[in-house]
Amino acid sequence: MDWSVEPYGPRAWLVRFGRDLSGETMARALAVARALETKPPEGLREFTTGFGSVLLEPEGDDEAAARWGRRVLPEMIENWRVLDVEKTAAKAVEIPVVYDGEDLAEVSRLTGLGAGEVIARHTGREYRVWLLGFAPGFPYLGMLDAALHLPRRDTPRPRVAAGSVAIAGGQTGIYPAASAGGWHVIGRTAAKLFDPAAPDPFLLRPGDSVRFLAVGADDV
Amino acid sequence: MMFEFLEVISPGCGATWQDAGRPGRKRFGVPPGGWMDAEAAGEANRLAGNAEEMVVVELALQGARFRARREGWLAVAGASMGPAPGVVRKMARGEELAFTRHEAGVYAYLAVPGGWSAPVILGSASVSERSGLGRALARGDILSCRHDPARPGRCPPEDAPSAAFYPRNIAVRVWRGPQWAEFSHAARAAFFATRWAVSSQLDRMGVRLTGAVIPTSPATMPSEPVLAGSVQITGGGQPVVTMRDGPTVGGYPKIAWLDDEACRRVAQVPPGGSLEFLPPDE
Repeated sequence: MDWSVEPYGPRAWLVRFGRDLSGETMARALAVARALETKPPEGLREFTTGFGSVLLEPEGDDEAAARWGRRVLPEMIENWRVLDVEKTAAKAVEIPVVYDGEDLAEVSRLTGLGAGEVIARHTGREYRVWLLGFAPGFPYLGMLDAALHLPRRDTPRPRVAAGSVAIAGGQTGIYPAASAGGWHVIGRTAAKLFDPAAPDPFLLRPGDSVRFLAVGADDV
Repeated sequence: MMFEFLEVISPGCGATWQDAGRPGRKRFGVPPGGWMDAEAAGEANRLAGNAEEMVVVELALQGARFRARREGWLAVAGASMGPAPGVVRKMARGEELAFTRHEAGVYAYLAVPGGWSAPVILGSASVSERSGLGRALARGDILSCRHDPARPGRCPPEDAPSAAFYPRNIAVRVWRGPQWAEFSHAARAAFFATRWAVSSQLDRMGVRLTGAVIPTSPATMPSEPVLAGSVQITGGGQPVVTMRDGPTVGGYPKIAWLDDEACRRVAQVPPGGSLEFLPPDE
């Protein structure tokens, strides 16, 4: 397998599980993220998930990190090769959505699908949380139905409301807080993706699975 | 008990609460955050007789103005914007302090004996507006202290004339970024041969540099984790130094990485100043 391990400064390493972002690459990256989340390895200060990649930052100063990179990292990566990517149990989350987004008509026009069909295709599959980024708690979910793949909006909106459910490229995501944004907004949810006051502030973690449920405006 | 000390007359180019930030949550999309110049922030706290890690007010560039609602001591450190850094001053009730004359550096820090009282989110008072974590200080805000700022534990606090120096033109040693090997020899040579101008597009997320175009491979890259201190080469071939509030993932190739000390020095170079990158030690 075409993995790469690159140093990222003296205290971090970036591991890529392939450049093609194939199903195998993504599944491997998610299995590794699950393993790191459920059984945090000793001496690892922090990990960050990318598309088909993971960043590893060990504890300690430059010298301790270099030692970790020599003694612990190679064995850890070898163990990842035998991780069963099918058996990485993740949390399954259902997210109720009111599909009345400001870009729904535009998405319908651009894809040539009726609004009902757009909704059916968006709700019709299970997504994986590939990573969280852009803003705290913002999930990049994939893969989106190929008929819904659209480039980002030419002009990002200066303000997208909190809870907006949106699509871009092969992904769908949810804006946890109001921000600027270039994705096509097709709906909204009352689900709280990031609640700093909660004991567990984040609803989703890399590797979790998500299903969207179409609900009426009265249900949220 | 709270002591209302300073009223914000103007936040200037930017005034925020900052402490050591929120490390350990990048995988949830939370940038590390925290003071742009940890050394200057620590100096402000030392001057005020505080532990170095206490929350301080961070001022950007210039323009901030405050009025004292009561008598009290105020420590100023970091960039020079009028009031001398490295000094603890006694503010009289009603006295105004204006950081309206930019002289050197970018970020200045204000501390009070005993510490400020600032809202804490996810274990830190650091404000990162882009991430929806707290909000910047605004006109009319009242900055309160945990102790009477007129009665410091160590009385009176001693001035320690600042040895800090904020040059407009600096050189910093880099480490290899994860895409180092994917840049051509010519691209890397241009990166190190150029004296990069710090543009006016600088904030807590990043510092954009101009001066040359670094050729990058045209292939788009899937988003991958980004560390603060990364030098990313954007689509137009321009370098951006990712700072404390920068995004945790991104799709631009990273030619180099700057350690905390180099990053702190870069943060204090004002627009119009310049940077030179020194090749990594082999």
